[in-house]
Amino acid sequence: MEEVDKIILDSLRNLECNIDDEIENLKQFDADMVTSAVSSCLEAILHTSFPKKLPPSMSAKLNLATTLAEQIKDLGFRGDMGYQTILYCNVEEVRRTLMFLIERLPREPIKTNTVEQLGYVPRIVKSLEENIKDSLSKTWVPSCVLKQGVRKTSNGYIVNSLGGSCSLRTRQIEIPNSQVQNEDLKDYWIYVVPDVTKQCPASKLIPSLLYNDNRFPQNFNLKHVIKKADVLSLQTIESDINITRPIEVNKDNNHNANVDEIETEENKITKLTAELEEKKQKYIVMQEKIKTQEDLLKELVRTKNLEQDNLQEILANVKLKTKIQTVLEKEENLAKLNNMIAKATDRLEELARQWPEIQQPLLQQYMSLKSTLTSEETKHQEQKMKVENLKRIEANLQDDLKIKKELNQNLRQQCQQLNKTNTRAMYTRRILEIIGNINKQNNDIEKVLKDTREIQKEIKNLTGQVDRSFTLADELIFYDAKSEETARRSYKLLAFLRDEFNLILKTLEDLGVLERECRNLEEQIEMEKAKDINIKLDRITSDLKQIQKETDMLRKQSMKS
Amino acid sequence: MNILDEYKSRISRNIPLIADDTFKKLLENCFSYLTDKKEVHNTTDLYNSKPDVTKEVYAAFLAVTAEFVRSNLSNDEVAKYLQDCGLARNRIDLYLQQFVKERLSVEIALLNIGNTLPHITDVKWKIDYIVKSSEMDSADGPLFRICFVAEEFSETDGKALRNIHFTCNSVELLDLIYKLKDAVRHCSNLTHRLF
Repeated sequence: MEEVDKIILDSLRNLECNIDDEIENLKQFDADMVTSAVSSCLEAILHTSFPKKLPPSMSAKLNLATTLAEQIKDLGFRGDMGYQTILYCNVEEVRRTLMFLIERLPREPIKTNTVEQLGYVPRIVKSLEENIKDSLSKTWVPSCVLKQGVRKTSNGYIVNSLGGSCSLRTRQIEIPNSQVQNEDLKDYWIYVVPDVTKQCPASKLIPSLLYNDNRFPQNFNLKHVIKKADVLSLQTIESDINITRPIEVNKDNNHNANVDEIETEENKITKLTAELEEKKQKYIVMQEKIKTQEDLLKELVRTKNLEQDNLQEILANVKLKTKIQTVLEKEENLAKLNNMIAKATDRLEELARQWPEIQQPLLQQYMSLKSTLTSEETKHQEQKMKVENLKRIEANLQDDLKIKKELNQNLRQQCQQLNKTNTRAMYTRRILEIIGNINKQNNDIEKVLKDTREIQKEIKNLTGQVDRSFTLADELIFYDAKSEETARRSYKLLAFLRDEFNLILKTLEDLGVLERECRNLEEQIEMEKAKDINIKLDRITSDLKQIQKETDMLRKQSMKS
Repeated sequence: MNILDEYKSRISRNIPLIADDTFKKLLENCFSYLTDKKEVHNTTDLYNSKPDVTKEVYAAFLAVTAEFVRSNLSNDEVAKYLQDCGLARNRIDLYLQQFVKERLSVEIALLNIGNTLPHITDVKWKIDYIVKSSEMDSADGPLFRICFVAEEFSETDGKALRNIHFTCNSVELLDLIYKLKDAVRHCSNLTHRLF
């Protein structure tokens, strides 16, 4: 029976009704658990919801139990089934009902892994389909009510109207750049430039931030572009003129009178153009001459400037020298000057002596500071390296994490699949074990049957032997009875003996039958005892009393109200 | 040059100069402006002593957020980018929290950029019959004067209504109706599982 219990518990756990892991057989079930098990089974079979817990009130309990019992009966359960089976559970009955219910559980739908379409186009078509389905299933809403013409749904959004969408046109936006070190520009950014959100209309901010279609690259040559544009327009104009000329000529053919005039005019024009050409060339030559002359002039001006500078320098020198000569003419001044020079040299020497004294400690300090600086720099470098290393490691770890997460998911899926197959294998193993047990029991039964058959044979043999020995004795004594008186008496006694023995045998058989009946009756008594009718009766009477109490209370309440 | 690369250095240079409180308010402003075109806090209150830095960071976050949604980056990738920009963990969390909440709205805001055909919301019509005019003696049949009321973007006041007028005869009108029915049938074919 344990096997059966295990199977029942396993399938109940599969149904997700809360059964503790500690429970190992149906003996540990109480009324609450039986109700939850039965109602979850019924839910799975009938696809309607049932309460999974017994309510506290007795009458409600009874109601629930009777509805459950009726449902089970409706499913075709043959056997004793009423509210008592669920409320006052008896292991045997519970086992039978649960087995019945589990047999009727719908088979799990075979989960087929939908093969994901990987292509770009099928995915788009699928999302399109889903979107259309969504928008068809939702009630229509006027677009003036919607914000930005789009409705949010549980899995994305439905576009209703893009009438309010602004075309992708950008504005030049000023963003302060802290990399540029220019005080004036900084002042401009701090005091003048407004926030980006105030520099353009709200609908244009995002495009202006993301795309810079009106920002020229740095090596952009504006003049070049304008020149190109000029050439293009000139060419188009010329081509236009070329087209118009033949038409004019055609017109002229119609007016022959004017032809001569036009010819003379044309001659004049050619002459004039020739003159113009000549003059142009002359003009060009003159311009070149002017250019050379101008260059010459410039050079001359430059040389003149240089010479003037020289002259000024020389004049200043001459002035200084004359002053010095006037000073040096007096001897007192000379002596004073000599004195001053001597003092200055003395002072210089003294300073030179003092200098190394001052220089030495400063130099040392400088050297030490330099060394510390270099050491700190190296430290800094090392730390930088470390940080970079750590960053790299982190990136690697994150990649690893991603891969492992995916692996985990895959493995989990595999595990689930494996579990399913495992349970199947377990079931088959159990079934095989059960079949083996049954075979063994069959063998036992056959052995017992053989034994009984042998015993029956023996009994038959014995009765046959008894009969034969009687008849033999009967014949022998009957033969003698003709001649002897004693033999006649003995024959009578023998007949009496035979009757008596037959009686004994009969009583023996009767005894056997009675014993069998006795055993049967005992079994029946046991069965009746197992049903606990007394206790059940007590329970039912107590239930009845409780219900009566509840109804009384309810009646009182209703009276009061 | 990629927008994200361009703003990475800008953010990393300026983010240490911004206080936590200001950062939070800037973020709230940024998301509400991207989705609702409104600013929750007054930006001039957020300047403190460095208006230029605040302005730059604000612009950078507006641009970067729009770019995240535009290129459909996952939350992890966004977190990684912000980490590379030198944001502290709590700031990244703050950003992600808002980003996850507002992502769909920003996507819708991006959706609303571009040229689209006017969206027809209503139709007005009348049937004319010309009995006689200076140009002709008799008419072929009724004339249908139809006016579609359509929503369209206008520079001055956002979404505006525009009337699209046209006139057609009964054959042309039937043609139009068949075209419309065709479109409906095509849609229902696409979702044939529904019907």
